[in-house]
Amino acid sequence: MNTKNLDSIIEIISKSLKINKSKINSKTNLQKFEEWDSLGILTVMTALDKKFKGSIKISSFDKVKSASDIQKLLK
Amino acid sequence: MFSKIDSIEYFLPRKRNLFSINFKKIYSKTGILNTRICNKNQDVIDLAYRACAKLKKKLINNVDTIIFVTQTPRYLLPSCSCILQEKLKLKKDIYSVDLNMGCSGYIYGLSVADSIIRSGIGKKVLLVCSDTYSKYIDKKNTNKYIFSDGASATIIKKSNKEKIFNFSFHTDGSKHKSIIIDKVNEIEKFSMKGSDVFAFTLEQVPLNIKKYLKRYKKKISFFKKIFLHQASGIILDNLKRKLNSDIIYKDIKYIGNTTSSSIPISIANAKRRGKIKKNDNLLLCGFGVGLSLGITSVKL
Repeated sequence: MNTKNLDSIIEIISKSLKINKSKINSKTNLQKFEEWDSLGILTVMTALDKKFKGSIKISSFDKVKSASDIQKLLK
Repeated sequence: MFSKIDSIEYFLPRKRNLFSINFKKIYSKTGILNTRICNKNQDVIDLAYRACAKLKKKLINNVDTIIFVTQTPRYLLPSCSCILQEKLKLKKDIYSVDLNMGCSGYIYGLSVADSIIRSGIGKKVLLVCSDTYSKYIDKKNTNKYIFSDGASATIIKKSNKEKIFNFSFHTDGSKHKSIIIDKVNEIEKFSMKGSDVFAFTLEQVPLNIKKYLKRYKKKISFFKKIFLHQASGIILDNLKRKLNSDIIYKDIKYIGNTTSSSIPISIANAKRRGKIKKNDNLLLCGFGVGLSLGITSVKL
């Protein structure tokens, strides 16, 4: 598992949703956060697309529950 | 024989009060200050009539084709185009048809209009786009911050020069439930899975535009402006980034997402504001419900 990518993903989630990084690890269920609403998800998707320059398969984002799930979408 | 866009008019109903505790946060993503909502006793035919009434009388009198793009029709049957023929007092030897298409509907409508003129079936087409999503979006549904009711009326005429050209389309029915009006406890309600639509848009719009330019051997610099469906601020900003283009026209703040009317409304406004003029080449791309996408080029 590439921990560098995972750290970047957690950083993006934390910044986009304005949630303290300490509350998120690779397995944290993001759906428990109030900030993980439709607008929050779009903000995270935008930041991920920018960071990974289109190399993330965002069309499968509906199945995402955790940072680890997002990492699996990296092409 | 070719076709050209002669004129575009539109009608928007009253502004909807969107004030709420979260509005600032929502606005930062949608880029929409006002959406529009029709009265209880208004529907797509009434909005379409108001848009058509703004067209010059001599333009509309000898229309021989009506294409009515809507997904919120007055009736399941008959078609809205037939009702509009009577309401506008147009001649009876007329071709009239409804197209059940949403945000890509203007491009599909233009393709039908262009085909009708090229084939010689008609000489002057009235392309109407009209929707009232508000009737299916209740007060608790956050989509009220995005979607607007509205109608547009475009006259497409025969032309010696090719001024509507190079169509391209894309459909992905596997995501048809991503934007849907379906029965919930016997009541028809609108729902949208934002992440699905966002992903489709971010992946397919840039990809299809690039394929389109390659297919028709055009560079983006050939176009004066790109008119994308005005879906939301966050989508337009992301497409601007993905396409690396500063010629994308944005006109959503005081209008909202008027589905199939968003492209003709923004073209009409751009023209009035002097942002585009005669002989400019425009690239148009509509995308959304279906999920579907359409691209074409227009010379004013």
